[in-house]
Amino acid sequence: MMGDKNVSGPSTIIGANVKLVGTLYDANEITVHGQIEGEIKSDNNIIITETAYVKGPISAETVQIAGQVFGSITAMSKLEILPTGKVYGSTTTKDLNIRSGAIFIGKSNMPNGEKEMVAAEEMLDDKEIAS
Amino acid sequence: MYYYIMEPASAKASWQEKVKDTLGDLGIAGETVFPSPARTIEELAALGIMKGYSTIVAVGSEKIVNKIVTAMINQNAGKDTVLGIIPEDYDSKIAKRIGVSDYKEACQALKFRKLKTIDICCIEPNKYFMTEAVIETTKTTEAYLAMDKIQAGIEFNKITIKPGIRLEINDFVEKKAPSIKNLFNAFIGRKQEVGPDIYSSLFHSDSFQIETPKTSLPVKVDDDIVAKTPIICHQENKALKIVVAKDNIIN
Repeated sequence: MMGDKNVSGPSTIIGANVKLVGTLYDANEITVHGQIEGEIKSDNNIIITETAYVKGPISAETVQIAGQVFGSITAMSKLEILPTGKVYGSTTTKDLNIRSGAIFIGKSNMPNGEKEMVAAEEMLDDKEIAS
Repeated sequence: MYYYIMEPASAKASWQEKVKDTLGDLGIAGETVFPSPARTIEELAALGIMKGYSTIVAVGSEKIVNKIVTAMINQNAGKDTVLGIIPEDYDSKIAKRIGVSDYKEACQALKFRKLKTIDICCIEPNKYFMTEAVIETTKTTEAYLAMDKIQAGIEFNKITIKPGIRLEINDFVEKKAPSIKNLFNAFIGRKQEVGPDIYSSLFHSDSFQIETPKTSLPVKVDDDIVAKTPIICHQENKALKIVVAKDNIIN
């Protein structure tokens, strides 16, 4: 946390009775049970549990949401919103998994998604011309 | 070369005699001193440094080790003088840290003199420890925690500051009403189901500031009060050289 680049070191856990304001960074996993107002960043995983409330952007390798998040989420590998999860904000990830019962209000972006969309449109155009 | 500071405890006299005999057999016997009301552990350590001993050896509990650590760093002796440890509790964190499982191994480690430079926790302005510092209350208490870019309001029963610097915050009071299932289990005498601990926190940083706004709480190292909240705690990197077992690999 806070400049700690030791990936094999201890993780950070925010208990349910903690209200935290500021930027939380850890090279290792971050688990949030409490309330955070500010940015959360990890080079590893971020787990937002059912009791957690986060107001601010989140970015990590993988993100799992079971609590409430008001802010953008960037997950390099995977973003999972569990049935109890509520996300109000945009998401950016190449692997998005929204479980039944989850709430997601916002825009979803996928890296390289626009290129694939252009390629698909071009293919469609080529087919129409051919026919 | 070796300056031994032993704890004054008649119950440990036979153990201390065995230690002295072993040191003599290994050819590393030195000056041995015992603290008294007239001479505290810290004063004896300072005296040993002043006399020019290269190795100050703490013989006894973790309490004596932390007091000597404080004296050595406050005397600016952490770079030139080495700390040796003969722990009386072989299961203690310090015994594991230096990699010894009995007094004979600890004495042999002193003879082989493999050195390791370690980081030390500091409670400002001048209290140092190798083990843990604890802030504990019987009822849940509010506290403010400040780190690099973070300010946090917390509720706790116990805060443990560990080398690293790692901060463990525990709140043992169950916040939720017991579930119907657990009430039923209690009624029929069955063991209650324990859910995941969501009220404990774990932080790590180079420094912390801890405040308890409604009351000032003691900060204890090995049951000795070394400070009272508010405190600022930081890590002194590579502050002390200690003697470790020949095959020690633990940090």
